[in-house]
Amino acid sequence: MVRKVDNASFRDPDGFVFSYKNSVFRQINFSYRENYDLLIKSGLYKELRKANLLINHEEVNNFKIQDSKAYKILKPDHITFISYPYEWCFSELKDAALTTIKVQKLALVHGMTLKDASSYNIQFSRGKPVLIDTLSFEKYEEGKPWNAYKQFCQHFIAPLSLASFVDIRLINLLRFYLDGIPLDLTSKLLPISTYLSPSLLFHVHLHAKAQTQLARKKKQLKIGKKFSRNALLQLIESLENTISKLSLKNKKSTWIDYYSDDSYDKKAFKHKVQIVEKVLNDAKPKTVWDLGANTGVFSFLASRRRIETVAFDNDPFSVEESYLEVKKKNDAYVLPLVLDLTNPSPSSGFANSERMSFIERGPADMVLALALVHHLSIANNITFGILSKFLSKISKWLIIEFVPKTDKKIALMLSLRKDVFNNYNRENFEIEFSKYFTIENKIKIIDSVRTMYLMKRR
Amino acid sequence: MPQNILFNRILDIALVLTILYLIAVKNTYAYIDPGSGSYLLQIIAAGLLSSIFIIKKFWRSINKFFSSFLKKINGKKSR
Repeated sequence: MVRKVDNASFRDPDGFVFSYKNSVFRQINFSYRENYDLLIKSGLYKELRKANLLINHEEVNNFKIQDSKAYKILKPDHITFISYPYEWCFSELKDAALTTIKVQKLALVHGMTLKDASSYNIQFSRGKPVLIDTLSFEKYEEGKPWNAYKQFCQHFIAPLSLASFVDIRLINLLRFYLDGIPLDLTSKLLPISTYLSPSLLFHVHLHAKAQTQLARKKKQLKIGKKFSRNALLQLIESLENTISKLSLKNKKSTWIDYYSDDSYDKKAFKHKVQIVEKVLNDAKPKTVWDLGANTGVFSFLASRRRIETVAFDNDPFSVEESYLEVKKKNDAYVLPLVLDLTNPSPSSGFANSERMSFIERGPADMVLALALVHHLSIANNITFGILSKFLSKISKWLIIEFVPKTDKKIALMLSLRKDVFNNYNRENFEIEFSKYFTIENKIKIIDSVRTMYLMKRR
Repeated sequence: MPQNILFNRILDIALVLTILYLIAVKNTYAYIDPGSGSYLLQIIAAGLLSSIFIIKKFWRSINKFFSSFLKKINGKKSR
């Protein structure tokens, strides 16, 4: 049995992440020995664990595979679903930023500092953002500026300020810029009014200009100039204040009030909930993906049953609402994420293999595709054939709601466009889906023209 | 408290003026050295950052002293 090194874990010579027999491990090399020992001995590890800021890990003794470079092998807690910053909603990204800052503050108290501040060092575990890179710490030596300052600004300040001052969709830039949004680009996109905010002026605009303008100044500066501990503490505090103050100005979208909308029949909704609850109780899936989850109504049915659930939706405001609800309830099972099913996260990074695509992170035990089919097949012309093939790649069990053309919502869609959907009917739906699934059960929803299907992948 | 707000305003103005000075002193070198810009920015702002930190700490301890002092006085008055 060979161990497989994680594709994104090549930049740090002090260690790397690998998987062995379906478990994830982190190797700490001898080059990191001093810093690792300091992390433990200084009490920093204990404090970070107490505050739930760092992922828990066990030291593994007598690991099967011998590596002469290995000082220690750690087995971190399992993360149910690996997610990436470009999939996070505004508040998830903001909370990830604040976690990074809290870690850095705590580290400084114990004589250590973070080597880097990449948003990929954070993952969501049990509903909260935690640092997963135990190798990020190094001994703090007073006098040096923060190495991770630029990275923090590009990974966190840039997308959050762009989402806040320009448009929430600019967070998508993170899909392309894997080391955070460049500061000069951010500076250009932010409105001129941000020059009046001293913190954004310093951390974005001036910081951007410093990249090109200050390059040669090194030699001209007095040798004695240093960056004191107080300066660093103030810098961190300023970053914390800047992040804390950023917020979404307008949180509304057409999808936020979906369920309180009059057109959604109450009896039909109740019946749908009953059906889903019964299936969850009977099938007991270990993982559930709720596609088109909106504000997470059905995802919370799964989390109530302690099922690890990911709630995907295309609308960033709906995902934001879901996440705020997760925080309010202290839910440890739901992870809300932004995802466009017609263009889900691709695999990216070097050799297209650093960051996993949406499909690669599946399949889920069970997928919920409620009130979704018509959005994909009518609004986006996705035929039943390719849709069922796609769904069979990401699910073992599928609960899918068929919405016929007689439904009010489709009537609305077709009122504005030509009906070219001759194959959109229940018979074809069942034929195409039967190619990849067996239809275990179908129930017509009370007071509705819609039908719920329970399907099992072949 | 009005003194706090006034103080913060003064800090803001001082920071903005310093920053405007720093921008004005720019040299236009085309060569991009990744990372050294952030490093140097921090070095240049070091003095200002540590001054702000020290002054804030000072104000916080003053405020703490005053609020505990006022509590004592109020405590005595209510008797």
